[in-house]
Order: sequence, then C-alpha cells, then structure tokens
Amino acid sequence: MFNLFHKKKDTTKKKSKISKTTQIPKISQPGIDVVIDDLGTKATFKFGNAQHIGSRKTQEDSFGYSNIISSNEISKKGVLAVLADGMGGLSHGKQISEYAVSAAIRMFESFDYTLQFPQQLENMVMKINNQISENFWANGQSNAGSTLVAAFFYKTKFYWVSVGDSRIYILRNGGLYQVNEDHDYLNELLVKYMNGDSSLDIAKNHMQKDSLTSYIGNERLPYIDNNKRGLSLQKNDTIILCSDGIYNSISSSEFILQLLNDPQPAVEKIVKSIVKKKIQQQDNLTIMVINYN
Amino acid sequence: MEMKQCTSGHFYDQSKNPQCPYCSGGSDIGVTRPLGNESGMYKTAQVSYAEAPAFPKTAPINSAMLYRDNIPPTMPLNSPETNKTVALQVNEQGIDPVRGWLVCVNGKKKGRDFRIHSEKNFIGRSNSNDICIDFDETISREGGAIVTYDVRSNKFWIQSGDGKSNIYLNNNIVLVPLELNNNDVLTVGQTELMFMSFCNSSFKW
Repeated sequence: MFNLFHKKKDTTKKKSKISKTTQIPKISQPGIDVVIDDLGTKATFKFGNAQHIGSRKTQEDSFGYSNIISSNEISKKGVLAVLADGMGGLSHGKQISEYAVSAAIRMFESFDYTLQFPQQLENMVMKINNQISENFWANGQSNAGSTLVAAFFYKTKFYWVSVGDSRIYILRNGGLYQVNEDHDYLNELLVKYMNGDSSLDIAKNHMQKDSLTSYIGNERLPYIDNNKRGLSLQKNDTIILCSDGIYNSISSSEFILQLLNDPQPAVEKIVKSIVKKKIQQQDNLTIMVINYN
Repeated sequence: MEMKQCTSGHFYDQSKNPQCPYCSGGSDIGVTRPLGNESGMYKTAQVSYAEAPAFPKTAPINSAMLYRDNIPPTMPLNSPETNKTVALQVNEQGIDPVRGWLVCVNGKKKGRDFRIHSEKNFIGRSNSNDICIDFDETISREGGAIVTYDVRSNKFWIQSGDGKSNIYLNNNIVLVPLELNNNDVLTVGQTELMFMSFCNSSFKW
C-alpha cells in the first residue's frame, strides 16, 4: 500500500503583480538661479548641449551659448543659444556655421535692452548673412551655406529666429511642439498640395524635397522665421534646438521621454541612443536644451 | 558633474573632459568613417568625398549643377511670397532709428520718455509692447493703442487698439486714426503722454 501523499503541485502560474515601489531613475543636474523681474523674483535655468559627427567625415554643425555660468550675467543680459548646420563641401559648411555662431554671440553682447528683441534678432541674422555673402561669394564659392536657429531668453520671455531646416521645439506639459518653420522644399510642396496645386505623392517623392529654400549664405535670404512678440515662459518649460541629424533619427516619444530628465543628461542620452542605432549616412547631430523653472 | 563653459560657448563636463570636447570641431566625437557611394538613397545625395566634389544633402534649391566650377550664384526659389520679413529703414548697425517720443506728463512715472520707431508702436501694460506702460493698472496688457509712423508721408498717427478702454487725444475720444502733432496729449488709462516728433517737416532720416 502506498501512501501516496502527493502534494498537489500548485500549477497555477503566479499572477504578476505590480511591485510596491518602483523608482524611475531621474538623472539631475544643478541649476542656476536667475532674477527675472524688477521685484527680484527668481527662476532656475538648466542647460545642456551635445554633439556627434554621425557617419560623416567632418563635423559641419556648430553651436554655442552666451555666458551661462554667471547668474549675474544671465540676470542682466539674458541667454542666447545658437545652433547652425553647415552645408557645402570642402569644409566651407563648417567655416560658415562656425562664423555664424560666433558672430551671433558677439552681436548678443551689443543687444539694446530698451529696443524690441524680435527686430534685433532678425537684424542680427541679416547682418550675419551679409557678412558671409560678402566673404564667400567674393571668392567664387557658392552652394555653401548654413542653417541658423537662435533662441534668446530674457526675464520671463523667450524669443527666437530661424533660417533653414534646423528646428526649435518647446516641451510644455508633456507636449512637444515645433516652434519654427522648416525652410525646405518639402514644406513648399506641402503647401502647394494643400492649396490643391500638387499631390502628396509628388511632395513625398520629389528629388529635391530636402533642399533648403532659405539659408545663411544666400544673397537674398528669402525667409526669416521669428516670433514677433516673445513667448512667455511657464514653469518647467523646456526649449530644444537641434539639427536635422537629431530629429530625423529619433521618434518623438523617445525624444520626450529622455527630455523628462534634466538637460545635460538628457542630451547625452539622446545622442548616445542615436549613435547606437548606426543609421547609414547619419548626418551630424547637435542638440541644445534649456529648461526653465 | 562639473560643468564649465569654453570660449566658443560650449558647455561641457570638466570632470569627464579636461578640455572642451566640442572645440576640435566635434570631429573627435564619434568614429570618422569614410562615406559610402550610395547616390541612389533618397536620404542623402552625398557622393564620396574621395571622388567628385561633395554634393551636400542639404543643398540650395537650384543645385542641378553638380560641379563646383560651373555653379552660378544660387537663385532663390521663385515663390509668390518672397521676403517674408524685411526690415524697413535699417541703418548699418541694424537699428531702427528714433522717430519721435511720447513723454509721460501725468501719471505714476511722470517724466519718463518712450521712443517711437517706424511703423506701428503698440502701447500696453505688458512688456511685449513697444511702449510699455507697466505702472498703470487701468491699461490693458495688450491691445491698448497704436502709434504709427509712416515713412512715406513722414507723419504720425494714433489709433485705438483692440482692448476695452478708450483713449483720448487732447481730451477728445479717438475712434478713427488721427494725426499726431507736436505737443498733443494722449490719455491712455490714467496716464497722460505728450507727443514730440523727431522726424517732421524739418528733419527726416
């Protein structure tokens, strides 16, 4: 007689439970406190920047910030963030984008704080374009040029100007919004399509759809995109400037997810994850992020 | 992390990099790989650097010309709305010169002057306005009044904005655009502003 005491195996699978405490690691960085109005109210700014060559042979993107280390300087003069994506072979793209960035920061130092900023930013872009056109066209070089996006933060407002297909985004309350207009042929074709003059197919497959319709280095500078009255910043607004190497290689959801972190860690992770994807012909990628709180 | 800024304006972590990693042109960041020769890919139309002159992906619109030496100056794309934003009357330094002034003769900040530039000058309480009267609570933030200088006729005009409150010119209500003359007094909210022109019959830029 067997005494079979088989313990009935508990064959039902253990239901997975949500663990009691989950910590989403948030990487943070120290911020810098800045006075934003005449009463002495303060806000905290955090900055980040990152760049990678992608799979290109040279880095033709350039970028820079005005002084972001001294709280006094920022309170007095605001911050300028500039990014330029150079194009054109034989390193002219790099020369132009580098010149554009340093010229912009130089001109920021002579901003007149009693005059309107949108006009000053626009004039700055036109002046840079004239200087570059003179130097580069004079030597018979052409086809060289650069995009230019600049964001200017002063007190509680944010002003921007843009030429070309680099982008400025604002991340507000979890929503990502592109603030400037792409100056590329695709945009024009899409407008034509919406007016009924063309088809979506033509727009999507046109050979020159990625060609720029406005850029620094073009004598005429057909379009300058800028905001006319300044955008009032809200708590935890995040402004992003990036070249097409970034926005063509990452999904918006991943982008937003990374940007929930502080700027410097966020940009480093974004660049890292794009580089990891090893996209063929990956363009130069540059990204700058400013968080306001 | 120990963030520092280099002379070019780059922000970098000094605890990770003794010198700015972006200043070498960013070429040190990432592996430099020779370009492939896929001109068939629509993502880029880049030709290998070793051979023909580079044809960049983002190229000006009329670059049907592939060879550097034959490139005529790039013509901008012909489109109906050229020159979206053009600045009028800008001098060498890119500054729109002063055209006239509004001086506060009655109100909290009596004595304060405001510059009038060309075209429309928006008056209101918020600092996005050209003429910001931030000391008068009875003035609306936006859409207060508009002083405009017309370059062609060398004249100044006042008109009411989109806000609720009325404005007065020499104590008469402004309902249609009226021409401004020297020593006219504008009443906006509880502030009185006297107008003085710089550009007038005796002077013009």
